[in-house]
Amino acid sequence: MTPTGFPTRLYRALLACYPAEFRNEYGPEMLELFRFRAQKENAALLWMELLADIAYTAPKEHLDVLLQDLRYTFRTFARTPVFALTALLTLALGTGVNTAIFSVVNAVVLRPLPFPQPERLARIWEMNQKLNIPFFSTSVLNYLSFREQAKSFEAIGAYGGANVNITGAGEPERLAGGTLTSSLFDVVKIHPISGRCFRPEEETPGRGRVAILSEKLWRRRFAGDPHIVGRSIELNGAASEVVGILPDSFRFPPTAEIWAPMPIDAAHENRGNHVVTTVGRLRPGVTLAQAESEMKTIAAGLGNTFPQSNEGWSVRMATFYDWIVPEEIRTALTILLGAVGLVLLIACANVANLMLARAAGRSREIAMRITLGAGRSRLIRQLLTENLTLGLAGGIAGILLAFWAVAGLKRILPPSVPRVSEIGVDGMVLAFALLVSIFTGVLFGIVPILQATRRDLAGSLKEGGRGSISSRPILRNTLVILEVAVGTVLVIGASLMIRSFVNLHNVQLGFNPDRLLTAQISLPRRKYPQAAAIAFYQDLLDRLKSASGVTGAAISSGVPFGAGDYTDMPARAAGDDGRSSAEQTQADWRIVSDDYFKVLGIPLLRGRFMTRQDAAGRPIVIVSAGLARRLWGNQEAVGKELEVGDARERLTVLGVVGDARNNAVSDEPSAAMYFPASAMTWSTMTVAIKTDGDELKAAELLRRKMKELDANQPIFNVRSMEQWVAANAAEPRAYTFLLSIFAGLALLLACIGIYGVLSYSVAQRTSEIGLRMALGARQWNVLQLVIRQGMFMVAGGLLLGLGGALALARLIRGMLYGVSSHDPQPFVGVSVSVLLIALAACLLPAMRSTRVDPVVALRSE
Amino acid sequence: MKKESDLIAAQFLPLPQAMFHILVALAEKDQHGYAIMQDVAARTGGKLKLSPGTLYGSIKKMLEDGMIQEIETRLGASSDDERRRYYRLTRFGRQVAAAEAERLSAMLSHARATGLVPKRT
Repeated sequence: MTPTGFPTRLYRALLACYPAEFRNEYGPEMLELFRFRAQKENAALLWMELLADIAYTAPKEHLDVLLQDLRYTFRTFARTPVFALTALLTLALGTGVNTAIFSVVNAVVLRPLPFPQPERLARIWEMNQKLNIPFFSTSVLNYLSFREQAKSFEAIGAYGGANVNITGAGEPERLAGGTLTSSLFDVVKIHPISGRCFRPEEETPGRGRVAILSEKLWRRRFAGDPHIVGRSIELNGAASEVVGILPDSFRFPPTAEIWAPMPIDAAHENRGNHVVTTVGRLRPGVTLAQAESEMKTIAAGLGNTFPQSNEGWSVRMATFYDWIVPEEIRTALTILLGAVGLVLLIACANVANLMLARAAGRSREIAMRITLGAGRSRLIRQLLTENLTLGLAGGIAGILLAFWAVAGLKRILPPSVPRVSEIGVDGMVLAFALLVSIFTGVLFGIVPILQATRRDLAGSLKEGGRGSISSRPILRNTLVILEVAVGTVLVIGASLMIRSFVNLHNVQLGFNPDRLLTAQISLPRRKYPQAAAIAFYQDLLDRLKSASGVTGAAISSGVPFGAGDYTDMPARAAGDDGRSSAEQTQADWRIVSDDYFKVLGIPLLRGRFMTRQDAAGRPIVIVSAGLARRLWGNQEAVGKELEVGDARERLTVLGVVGDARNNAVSDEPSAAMYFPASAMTWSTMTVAIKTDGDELKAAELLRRKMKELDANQPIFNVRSMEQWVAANAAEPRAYTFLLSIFAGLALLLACIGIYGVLSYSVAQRTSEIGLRMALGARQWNVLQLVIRQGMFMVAGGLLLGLGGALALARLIRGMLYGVSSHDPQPFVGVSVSVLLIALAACLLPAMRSTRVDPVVALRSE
Repeated sequence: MKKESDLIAAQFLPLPQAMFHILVALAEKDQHGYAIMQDVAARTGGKLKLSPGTLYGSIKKMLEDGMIQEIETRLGASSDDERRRYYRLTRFGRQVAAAEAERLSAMLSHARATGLVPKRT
């Protein structure tokens, strides 16, 4: 025999490719055979043959073992269908919610933005620290200066919102639109699917009678007409030539369906008029910080050159990713993903407990198989196959569940969450589900496997078939403690969110949204010069007020929470001596008709409301209580003068009204100024109609009255005020709803866990209980015994959970409104609830234990 | 009417080539793995050399299916042989081999009938 040389050692090492069982059985002979042949045959040819042999037969042997294990697995599951089904459902639930939430995270947070090299794209804001304006649009002239001076960018572009009425063929329709600089296309690098982009010369006012359609609009309104490019359409009553179609990934502004070139008339622009959104594409190798610092220098230079408009203004920037997917949304989704991860952990713990209980029943079978020569590794492999099969089956069921859940999530999540429409189950999500399934398969399986194969064989065989796991209940109890802990964390988190949501709901809005319909109207300036527009609205309001069912009607440049145009501008208290205070404050402003406050239910605190006649006299204003306080402290504001805007126009305060929340339910009411609509109107105005019945029915009335006045004027954004307010709280509502569902699920699973462990323990201890009862223990004593065991676990879990909940509360602090993250009430309330619910879960098995008949229990021994 | 065991044997057809060769090699006498390999090589004029994975993979399968059995030690084995495992054809294995031979022979006669293969002289 040849001594053991390197080739033999190499071949022996290669034999590791075969399953252990096969290797142990035939390895020595195969090695022997190798030695024989190595002596006689050409080494190169022999190795070629052997390598091919291993590559071909080793996977075959593994597959063989796998199929064998799978057959065994299915036989086992068929023998214990209740176990298999319970485990499957639990896992499906766990994988399902995880897959669903991951599909959201994937679409919203993980998927790259649909632009080439998105990391080089930056949003550019103007900001003014002194005026407390952290983010602001850019003025057209500043945009031009940035573009001219900045070296860090390959291209800088800008866009603005501009809604248009489309008439001609088909119903007149109001479209969300935008105006774009031609350079914007060099920034985002999204190109038309048909036709061309805008050209720089089309930015010259009067030369840009061209339009680009969105793919959606092209399909919807023009039925995907392939010859649309080059044709003329009617926008705001004038002809425009369609020059291109942009894909739906072009979302500047987000809801726009149609675009025109941005008209830039530098000679007539106001540098202080911040109206456009500016974005840039960084040159390769330039970092955001470098570009930002250059832009700040440029802004400071502009401040020196144009102190009137630019003093105190600077620039701040963010990557497109941080701009489009804001951090608050990332945090919220991370928390939701964490919550479902915890639900999955509970599901795993439950299945692990089921497995442990079953393993206890199977300990004799396993001991027998080990005794009969099945290797430990072979047994682990078999059990692992079982677990992975269960995990994968749960995963597949979970994916089916996720498809359904994703459809629901897309309805629940508000449109303010970016990229909601892109949420779906794609390859990435499926890969995640697969990973989760494997992970759960290993996780819930590992403990029972270690336990099952480590057990004392002789003991198991001697015990006459009764599992011996009850001698070591620590593991199972620990799992239940963890379940209760995790459940408690989630329930406390959810209850904090619910309290916060209730607070938001109960917040004093400062106006009454009840039975209030709002809709927008946009009168083209060409057809309705200022005086004509004012007359049009007065006529419309008169017609509405005289209609039956209407108790009031008003117009405004924007209603709270609505889609209107409103912005803020500086306001100063004007002194009696003609000088004005150096202090200025930023105040929201809107244009309102005389009945606006009555219609919205905003109370008059001092002075009087305006009337139509006030337009003729000196300029007047109505201020909110907050603004009055800020400008004049406790002094009487009525009759005082204030200066607004950079032009410092002087206005006399006619009345003081209550504070109303404007932008977000969770934001304190802002200081506000109201200008009379009898003096001027904005190009788009919101009509508010107060009704004594269903306010949504007033939409038809409004349409009818509009038709009487001008059949070509569409109304749009028709909503009830309640809908606007609800939409504003849609994000917290969605998060609260989802977190509550997950918390409920977690608590339910934890209770099933408690119930399962106690039931099993009672079954295991039947003889002990029988003996106790034979020795004189009362039913009450036995009940106590079982409940004590259960509640001991619950108390442990609760303590752990309270600690975890404190950490979670700190994490979601930013999402809470009017709730301290350390508010003891939810902590106490949830603890009591968990204790009571857990007690119920303990009670069922405990009741069963009292029905143990000592005679029967002892005879079975 | 066929016997039940014949019906079971028919389920294994067609038999993989390696298995059939192993059954044929064991038809004459009990042999160990290496001898089977050599036997098959000799029988096929060196054209078919069973590689170790195929050989022992087939042996494992045939043991499980009851076509062959392992025998403890061969009578009159040298000390060198004692470390090797010997395999013997079972009755069932013989049935399977016969069924496969019959199948192949039937196929051959079909081929002859169509003139694809020259008739035996």
